[in-house]
Amino acid sequence: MKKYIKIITFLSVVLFAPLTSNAQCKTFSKKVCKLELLPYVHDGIYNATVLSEGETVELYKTFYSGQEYRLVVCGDDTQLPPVEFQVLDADKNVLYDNKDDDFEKKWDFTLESSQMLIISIQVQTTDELSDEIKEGCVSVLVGFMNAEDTFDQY
Amino acid sequence: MIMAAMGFAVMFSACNSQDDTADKIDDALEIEKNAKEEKALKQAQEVFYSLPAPGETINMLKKAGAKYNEEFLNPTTNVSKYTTTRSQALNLGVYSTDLSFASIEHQQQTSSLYLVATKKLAEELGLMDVVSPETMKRMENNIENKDSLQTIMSEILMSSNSSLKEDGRAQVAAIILTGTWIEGLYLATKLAENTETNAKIKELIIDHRISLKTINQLLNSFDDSEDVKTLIEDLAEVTAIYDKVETTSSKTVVEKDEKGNSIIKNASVSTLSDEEFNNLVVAIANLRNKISNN
Repeated sequence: MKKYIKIITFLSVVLFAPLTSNAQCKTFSKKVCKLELLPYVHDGIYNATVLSEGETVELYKTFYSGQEYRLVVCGDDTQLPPVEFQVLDADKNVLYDNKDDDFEKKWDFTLESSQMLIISIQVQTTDELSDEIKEGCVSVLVGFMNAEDTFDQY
Repeated sequence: MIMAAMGFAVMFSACNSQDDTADKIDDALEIEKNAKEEKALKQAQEVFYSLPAPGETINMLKKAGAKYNEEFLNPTTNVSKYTTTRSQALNLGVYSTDLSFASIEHQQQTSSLYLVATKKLAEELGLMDVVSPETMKRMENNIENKDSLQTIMSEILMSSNSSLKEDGRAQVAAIILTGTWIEGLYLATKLAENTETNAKIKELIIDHRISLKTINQLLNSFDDSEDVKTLIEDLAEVTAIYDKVETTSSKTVVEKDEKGNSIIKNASVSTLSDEEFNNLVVAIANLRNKISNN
């Protein structure tokens, strides 16, 4: 029987030292990405990491009915190809794909019933021939509309 | 003899052939399994678990018609009791939610008190770079402006969260977020008792079972932390009651309203018997009192 090296699935940050630091990623999230959330209030949760071409990250979050949300997924355009994100339900059905929307960075939505959604993000790969793999910061931010700012109530 | 030898040769060959076939099948299954694992690996280099922020839960309670009652908040005088990292982190979450509640209801004096308590615990947890004198000044100057205060608080939460992760104390960030979740749920149960039209609040309480799953997933990723293990045990009773929620299944679709906004539609309904709902309220109160009295 041939022996195969078992690939152990792990959930952790990429082990190689990124060219973009986590501090730069935090600055990018705060100064660039967060602006896309306005006028929604940021939920304060920091979800950002350095990704390379082709790499993916997932965010699991509960969204509540009657609340207006904005989801912002932005990658550092100066370093990375377009970032695709999909919104999936718990059964992994695709509810939204920004690829169909010219890689739009944000999506506004409300929910009829509270549920957990999965935001799956992948950095596209470039067709350019290069020895260098592009990498950069990808940030996922969620905002909600304050009670007094909304006029539609469920 | 020759025939016997040939027979053995044929049998041996057949056995080998069967063994080869079995090996090939095993190999194929192994390849498929590794491919799936590799795909799973490629599918997520990192997984984030995100919980409701303090402001989010309070925002929903306000929309549901909840009325402010200061008696439900964790008294700021309790802050001197919190001497361990676990109790400090949990109650930083608790006080953050209380601060959100007071600020969204324009309770400026109370907000100031909870700001002080929050700052003290942030100092104890080594988060003073995040809650710097400048940040405190901004909060004090904006104590009357709930939107600015909410924005500043979300910045603090974001910076605390990332700072703790960078320092290798991500489990402390998880405990803080769990504290905000517990307090938000506790306030919801108290407000449900005191709000005439409380159906929406009750629905919100039942819906919190979904984020509890995320909390447990998040906490279980730190299974080498004694503080986290204790917290998982503390949450067990609430988890067990939420497991009794019955949910009808329904397909999820996305539609647009008349303004072109996206609505994720799912007609599923979640129910919990009155008896179990009351048990849940008691369990949440016990949990919250345990963490606020330690």
